[in-house]
Amino acid sequence: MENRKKKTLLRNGSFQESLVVGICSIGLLIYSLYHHYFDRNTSEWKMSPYLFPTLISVFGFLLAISLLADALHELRDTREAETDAKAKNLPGVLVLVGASVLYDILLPVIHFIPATVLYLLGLFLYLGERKWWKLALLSVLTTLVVYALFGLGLHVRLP
Amino acid sequence: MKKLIACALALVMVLAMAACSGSGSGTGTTAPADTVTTPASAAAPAVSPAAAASAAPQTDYPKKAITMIVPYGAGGTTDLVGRQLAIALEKQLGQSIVVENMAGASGSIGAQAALDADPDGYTVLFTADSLGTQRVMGISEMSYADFAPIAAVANDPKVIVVAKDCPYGTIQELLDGIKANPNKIQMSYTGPGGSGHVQALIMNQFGYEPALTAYSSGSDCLTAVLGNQVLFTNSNYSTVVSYIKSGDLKALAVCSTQPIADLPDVPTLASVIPGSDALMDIPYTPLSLLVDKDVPADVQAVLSAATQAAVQDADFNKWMEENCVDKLYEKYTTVEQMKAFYDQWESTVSWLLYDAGATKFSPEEFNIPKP
Amino acid sequence: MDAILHSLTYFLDVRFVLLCGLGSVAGLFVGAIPGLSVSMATALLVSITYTWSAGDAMATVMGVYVVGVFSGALSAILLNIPGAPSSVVTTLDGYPLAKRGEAFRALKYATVYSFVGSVFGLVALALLAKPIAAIALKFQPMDYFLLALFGLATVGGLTTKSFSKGLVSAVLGLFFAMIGMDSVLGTPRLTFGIRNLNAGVSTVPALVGLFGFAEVLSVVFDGQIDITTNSITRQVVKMKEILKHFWLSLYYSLIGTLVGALPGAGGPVAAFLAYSQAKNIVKKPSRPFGEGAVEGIVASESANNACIGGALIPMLTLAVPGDAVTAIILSVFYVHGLQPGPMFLTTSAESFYAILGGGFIGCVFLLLLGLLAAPHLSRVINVPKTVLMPIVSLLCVIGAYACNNRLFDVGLMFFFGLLGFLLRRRGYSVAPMTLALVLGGMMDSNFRRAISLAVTEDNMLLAMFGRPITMILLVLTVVSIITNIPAVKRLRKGENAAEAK
Repeated sequence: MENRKKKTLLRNGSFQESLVVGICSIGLLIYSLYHHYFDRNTSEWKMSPYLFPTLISVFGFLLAISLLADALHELRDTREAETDAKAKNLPGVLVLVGASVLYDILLPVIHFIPATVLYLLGLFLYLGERKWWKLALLSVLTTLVVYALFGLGLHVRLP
Repeated sequence: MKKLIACALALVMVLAMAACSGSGSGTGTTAPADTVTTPASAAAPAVSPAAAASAAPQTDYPKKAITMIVPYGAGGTTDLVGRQLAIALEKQLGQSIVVENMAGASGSIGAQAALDADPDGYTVLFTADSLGTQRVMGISEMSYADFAPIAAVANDPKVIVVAKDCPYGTIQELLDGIKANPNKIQMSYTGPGGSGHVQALIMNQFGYEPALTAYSSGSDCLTAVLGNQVLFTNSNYSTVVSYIKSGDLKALAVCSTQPIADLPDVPTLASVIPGSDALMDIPYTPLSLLVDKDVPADVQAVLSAATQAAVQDADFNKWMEENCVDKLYEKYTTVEQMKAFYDQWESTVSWLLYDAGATKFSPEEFNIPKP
Repeated sequence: MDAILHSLTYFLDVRFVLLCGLGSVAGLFVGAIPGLSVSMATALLVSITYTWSAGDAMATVMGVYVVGVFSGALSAILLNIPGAPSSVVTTLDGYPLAKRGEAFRALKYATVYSFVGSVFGLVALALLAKPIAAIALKFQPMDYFLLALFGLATVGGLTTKSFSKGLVSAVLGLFFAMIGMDSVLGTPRLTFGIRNLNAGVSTVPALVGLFGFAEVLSVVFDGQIDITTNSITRQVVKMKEILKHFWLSLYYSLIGTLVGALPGAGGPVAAFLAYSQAKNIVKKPSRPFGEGAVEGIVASESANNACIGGALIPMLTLAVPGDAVTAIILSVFYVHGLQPGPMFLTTSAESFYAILGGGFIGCVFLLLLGLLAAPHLSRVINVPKTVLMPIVSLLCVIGAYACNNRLFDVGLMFFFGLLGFLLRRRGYSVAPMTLALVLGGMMDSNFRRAISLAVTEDNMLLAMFGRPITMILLVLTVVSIITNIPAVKRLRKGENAAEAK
């Protein structure tokens, strides 16, 4: 269905990206120049920390123009552009990120082993593992193995 | 086949483990990340804990291992001196001292961690000079005043070096060259606020203006001289000693009032710049052992007494002499002397930097008196 | 030659070999597990080997170093998560091969050519340390800046179909590299008042997020979670076939050694440059580059392992570390009372031989462990994704945390994971961003240094670009950018098409 959508500039991926990149680099340029002139604590402009970010923002702006050129080229192109696969499992991604953030918050509160068991249990469950013995075994075993190998064996500090 | 491989691997590991413990190094396997532990038993305390603590019998400190935070990377001068001191101090305290490197942000990350820890004396800080300039440089809110000094330990003397094919053969020629071509003679230094910068600013005060370019570390400054990017630099002696011995670099002057024992023929900067004695006399890279100022006084007393004894340790002294590091502990022995020294250091350096326009804030904002 | 013979006597020292073996096994683990880096392992060794003799410490450290650099390729090939930035290039062809069920083949190529590269680098270290150090000293700040820029420009052209997209990714990486304490002035920059950002964006959380966590998100998003990967075809890979690329790999190794000897550039740049050379030289790869060409793995692995010998050169002769790992090895030296510097090779010859010996023994272990472990490791890909993905994300969290012991870095890792995921959906490659992140700090300080050095000269432009090395690098950079600009490419393509008609 998407293929039949009319090609417009606004719907073109490269154009959207060019807008984002362009705006970001102009933002960075203003930010860098502002700090370059007002926030300096040395009298030497050549050593200013914001010299290189300014250069980066110029690069970024040039790239935005280049992306815009790509976008225009794609529009003129008569061939059907490859359409991006539509969002397939956006909730899955959100759940995963949410679970990981929750894990991050829980870690200092309930310590490494219980938090990790819960986290793995939740993820295995969500990803479709249903046999309860397998679930328990996998999450507990993985946690213990990781703890033994990293915490005790390699002296990696675990949260 | 698979089992065979597994067995072979296991065998290799077991053998290697055995080899390790055979070398008396099994201690390492119990150490947490980034730290060094030498159990007190292995260190064989020369003086019993009771003897060290006799100066202040009110406390049973130390009861457990002490963490020494070094806010710079492993291998730098601060780290090396700190580790040597830790070994000597362990013998006095009868507890192991765990050295932890927390590098970053001009030493402010490690110093902040030392302040954040419980002020019970089990976290000590071994740091370089940057604490005195962090406030005016806008790096952090900390200063020497947030800590109680235990000992001013060492100072790495600075020397002016040029490449071996440099047209200037003596310090006088170099100084004349700088005077004749202000802002043309290139010098590398380790960044504003660093001790190399401070010394360059002192030169400015006497009318010498080299063109400064900042590098990230002392050894980078040296490669800049070796690679003819810059003409000279002002380097810690311990960093540069092997280049002077190999003849790749020539030492022109020592930035102090005292010559270095290893280099008797190299003049001091104070002797060629008349009137600079007072400024040259200050040790610009003091390495000190500090604790949070809220640490109980009796604990501080135990630590001070133990450190006083530790710096007399024969091994420690030998190491300091071999590396040509100034023994500050001989110059500043009491807490009052140390405090006076830090105050003087802070005011001299802060105002030097401020007058050169290198600071973010005026020293006045922090009530730092003008020298 | 003497040095090599001397170092080979260490093969007879059982204790030395065993310690090196122990180091190698440890290196294999930390290198292969995403998030645990070789630099972390060597940092750990500083403390563990503190009380050992210098020889024992060298043996272990070299074992970890040589095998650790190689084993970054294992996770790069099997999971699309490079163990370290220098293995990023290996993912480009290694992972596609693994997806086709040819992981075994990819691993074998990686092992053999890592071995070749490591040996080449160490031989160069033994024979040519002084001349190579002299060349490295000739590089001025502007040259370092241009070399990094050239690296980024090549990567932009290599990794994605669209040059602009590759460069946008690189520019993003540069931006992230700017965050934190400025290395020259020591003042916070672009931290937007967030205190935790003062220490900057560390490479490990970014790398683990961009590759590891983003991969997990992509798999979940694509709904491929239930698909078990096609079973491995355990084909026989003949040595003769593998060794076909031997002569080319020596060329890549040469690139690796030279780039490795330039402090700050290191493994990732070497791997990318070698890869771009491979793309130009090899006209008929086994498969197109980027879709599973073994030639790509050969280039990347021989170059990044040859960096080991290269990076040790400035460290030993100038006491300037070539990369993060050698920086830590340097402190191992200091701790054991060794003073790297111009006198090191003559005054501490015995330690120098110990390093070489440890390196060569490490190479042998690399070959052994690689060939023995490859068939077993390649089975990782058979583990169901429902089990593998949660474990990978757990490893990502641990890796991000372990590098600095800060929960903030875990947050950063999530951020980069999401960013990497979004970029991939939009057809951007995250490889240029990784390279830019690694190089950003060095580019920034060298750029400012170059300007600072030049403004005091009478003719600023001449002072900046007036040396042969600088001119060559400038021309290379400009040419590589211009020929890759889409409009120019289209123009050239148009001409070609016209001629064909």
